[in-house]
Amino acid sequence: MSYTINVVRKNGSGTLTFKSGSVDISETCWWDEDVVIDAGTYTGYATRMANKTDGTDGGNREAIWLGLNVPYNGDGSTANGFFIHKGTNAGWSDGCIVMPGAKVYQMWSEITPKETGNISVVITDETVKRGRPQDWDCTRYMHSSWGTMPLFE
Amino acid sequence: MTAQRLIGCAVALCLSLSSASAQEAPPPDAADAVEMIELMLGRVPARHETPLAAMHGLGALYARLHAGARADTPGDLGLWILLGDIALRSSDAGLTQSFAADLLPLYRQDPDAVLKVLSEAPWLATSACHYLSAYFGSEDRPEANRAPFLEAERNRIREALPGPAAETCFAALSASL
Repeated sequence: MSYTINVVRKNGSGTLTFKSGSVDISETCWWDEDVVIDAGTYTGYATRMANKTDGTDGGNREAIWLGLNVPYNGDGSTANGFFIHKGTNAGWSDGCIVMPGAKVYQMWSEITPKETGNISVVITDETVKRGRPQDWDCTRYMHSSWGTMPLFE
Repeated sequence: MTAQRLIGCAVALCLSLSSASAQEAPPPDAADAVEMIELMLGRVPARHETPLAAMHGLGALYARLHAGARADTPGDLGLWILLGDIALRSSDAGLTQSFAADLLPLYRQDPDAVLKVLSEAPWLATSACHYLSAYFGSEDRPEANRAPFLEAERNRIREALPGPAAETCFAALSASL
């Protein structure tokens, strides 16, 4: 079985969506704005973080690992330790994507088997489009029923 | 410089760091030292067969050295702090979050031991003090405890570290997230 996690980033926060069986998640997520994973598709693994003992089920922290050599900051840098894990704000992240623990646990529990690269994590940046281009330069060409106004140079 | 000479230099660095903390300290485990050198060089440690195993292996290395440092096992504190420096330089987010949570409690347990490591390898002060600072305010820990900590430790740090390293540490500790 394969799974897809979509992360759409906007300014400072984003939305993580995941759907499988009866699980349908659409949740706000955050990240450290100094270490930003490049938009792209990564192979994820449902696992646990070895040195965080605050898992929702009492074990180590549940997480989705994004694999080796993940590019970040758009400058050719890569790193190996990016996860999706629990957190309530960007202060929980050094580059990981974080969202409320209950939602991470719900998603993580749905994914089987664990420790397998069976997840596509798709990270995109939303392009904000508002309004529409101006039809004309109103300071230079004022169209009216009386014709074009003269230019005031 | 050839790859062999680079590795040789890095081995010497690991060994000197370990033995500097306590002259009677044994050299680090050879396989652990090689893994740290490979991490410094941006390689996937060869002792792990898969990328996933490498990720878990790094977590296990952290856990071993951290446990050794907490138990005052000779040499382990220096190696653990060195691993923290590697993690910060390589932006290993999972590891840096762990160091941010774990270094300050260990400092509180034995501040002189941590400062001894930093006095003997002052170049580690940048990353170590980054982690001491990052404790405050991250993962919902209170930011308000930063200033009292800095005031309580300022003289101890100033007396223990060379001047530039102490100033680097104060600058890191003064910076909130």
